[in-house]
Amino acid sequence: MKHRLLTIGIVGIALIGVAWARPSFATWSSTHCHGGSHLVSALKRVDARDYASVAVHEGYEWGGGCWNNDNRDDTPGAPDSGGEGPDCSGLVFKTWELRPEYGGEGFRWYANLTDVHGPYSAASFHSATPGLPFRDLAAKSRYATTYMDAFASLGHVGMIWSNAIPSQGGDYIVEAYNDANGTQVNVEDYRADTAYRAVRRKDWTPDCAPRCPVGGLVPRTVVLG
Amino acid sequence: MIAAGAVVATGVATFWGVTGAQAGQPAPTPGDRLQIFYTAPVLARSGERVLVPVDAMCSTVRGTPCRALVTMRAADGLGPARATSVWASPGLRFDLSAAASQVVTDGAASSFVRFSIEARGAGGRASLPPAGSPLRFYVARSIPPVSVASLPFAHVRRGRTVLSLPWGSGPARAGIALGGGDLPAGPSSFDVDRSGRIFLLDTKQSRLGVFAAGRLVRSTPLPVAPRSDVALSPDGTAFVLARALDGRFDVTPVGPSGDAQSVLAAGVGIPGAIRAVGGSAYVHVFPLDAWLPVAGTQVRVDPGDASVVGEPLPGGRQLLSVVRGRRVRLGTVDDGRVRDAVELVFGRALGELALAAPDRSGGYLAIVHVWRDGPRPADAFQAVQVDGRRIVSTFLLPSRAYTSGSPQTAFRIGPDGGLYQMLTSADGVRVVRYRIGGER
Repeated sequence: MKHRLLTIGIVGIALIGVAWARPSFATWSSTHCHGGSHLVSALKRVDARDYASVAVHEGYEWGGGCWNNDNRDDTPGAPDSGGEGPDCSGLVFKTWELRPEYGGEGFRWYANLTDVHGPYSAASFHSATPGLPFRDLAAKSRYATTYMDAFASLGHVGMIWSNAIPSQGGDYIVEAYNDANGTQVNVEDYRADTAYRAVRRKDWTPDCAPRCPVGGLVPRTVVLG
Repeated sequence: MIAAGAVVATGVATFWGVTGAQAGQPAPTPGDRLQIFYTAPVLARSGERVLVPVDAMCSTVRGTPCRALVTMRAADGLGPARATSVWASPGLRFDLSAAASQVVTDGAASSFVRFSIEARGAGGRASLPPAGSPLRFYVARSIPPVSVASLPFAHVRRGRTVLSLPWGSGPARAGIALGGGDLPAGPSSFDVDRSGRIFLLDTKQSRLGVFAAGRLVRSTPLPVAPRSDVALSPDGTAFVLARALDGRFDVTPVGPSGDAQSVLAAGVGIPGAIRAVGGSAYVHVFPLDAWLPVAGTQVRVDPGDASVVGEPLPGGRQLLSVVRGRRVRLGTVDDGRVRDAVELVFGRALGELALAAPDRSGGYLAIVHVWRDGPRPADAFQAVQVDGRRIVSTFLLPSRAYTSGSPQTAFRIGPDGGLYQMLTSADGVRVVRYRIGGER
């Protein structure tokens, strides 16, 4: 009897334990993504790029917006599962510190472990309408764009990573690409692709602020004699 | 306090003596918090201004931007290096015109400038190149400009389809990944062998398939991610380039009988194209913007040369190519000298140079993405065959693609001399062969 009671007790505890430990559809993001956010008054491109650099080498998740900083995809081969990483528009949303309400002006900083995607799709960036905190640029030439501007198609969006130009042309682009390739800096030819438009976030604060030279920032040329 | 952009120091230096960095030091690990991007000159004309924009990205372990001290070292030919250091700032660029102007002397038609870039800050230290001999750009006394006609975008050449596969799975189909909001990913690259067989890198089906007369005749299982590349060597070995998410990339040789061999660690960075020269493989790596030999293949480089600026060619030659504005410069480095340099001047804006190759007569074939902005945007690839100062032929090729991919993985010149292009649509993938020549 004593042995039977002990067995029942162990089985009971095990069953309770199993029920307790059951993930109940816990996902990577629901487990790890508990970051915060706060309003900020301004954003520089250099700060935006630094923010995006944390996402580089992390995963990709359609509709996602949460990543850590371990330079690996924590949910490889598990698409659409609440896994790690932003999708393309989620990366732009957080990097540009857009407000979570559609069309909201101003800036909100989000921790990388804040699981937020924002209300904009790639198509929203591609076909920016008046009243949004970003706008389509009239031209895509290198004179018209600078780093942290974006190229958007109806299905994808990525940001210019550097004004440096690869020898074979194209641009360095930071982008949440797809589940297999994750979030990376790639050399892309979006500028030349008719499907893509150039897009700019409104209201950047110049990188040189608060000590910008009169007349604005001019390229600094250092002569090596 | 020294203002950003102010020159901190300048003077004579050895390439690595100032910093203590040595050839053979380990490459930067992925995730390093200091990165250098720059615009490589590659091929300059004697007497012209040579500006090298440098973008140093520095962030602390806390993830906040930090200042970086950038040092540029340059030397004309094999002469002593001069160095200057400056705090990084937006729009920073170094003027290497003086070094470039001194190299073509004593009647020489061409020479080169060696240079290296280093950055230091709270984010650590980074340098280009990370190890080995300095980078180079070449200076030629003469780079004759040749105007390239702007063709109507609607006039794309029609080729002959040599392989057509609908999307799906199985031997007679090509894999496509269409998950959620992902960019559709189809076969990422292909190449053509002496027999006209198509080697198709089907990443969705994790295979390197060999197709003859439109049918799968061999398949090698290869679990590689999209954006991989493949290049065939003359002996039939296929070199498959794959990139890991952590920034490393590797190369898997697949022997002529289809056996996948040991994976070769090839480097760190953003891999561009892979090319095979004899039994050796080279990868174009960014932001180094140079070609790295793949250790473990039959590479032949000079001791200490960790990279070469031009695409390696048979016989130790290199193909120089660079896109700047509406111009494409091409040249061949042979025994350290630039030969057959030419500058293609387009009337349209340019995207990527999808392919460049020398021909047997000292000319080149170049395929460039041309585009037009404005109310009626359009784009296409323009093939240009140039011989000396004369355009032999030029024609347009379609640019529309259903799946994502790099232009540099979409074109190949077959051993038969034909030009091949991989095209994708909502129906599937096709490999199309074009004859080269005609139309101007």
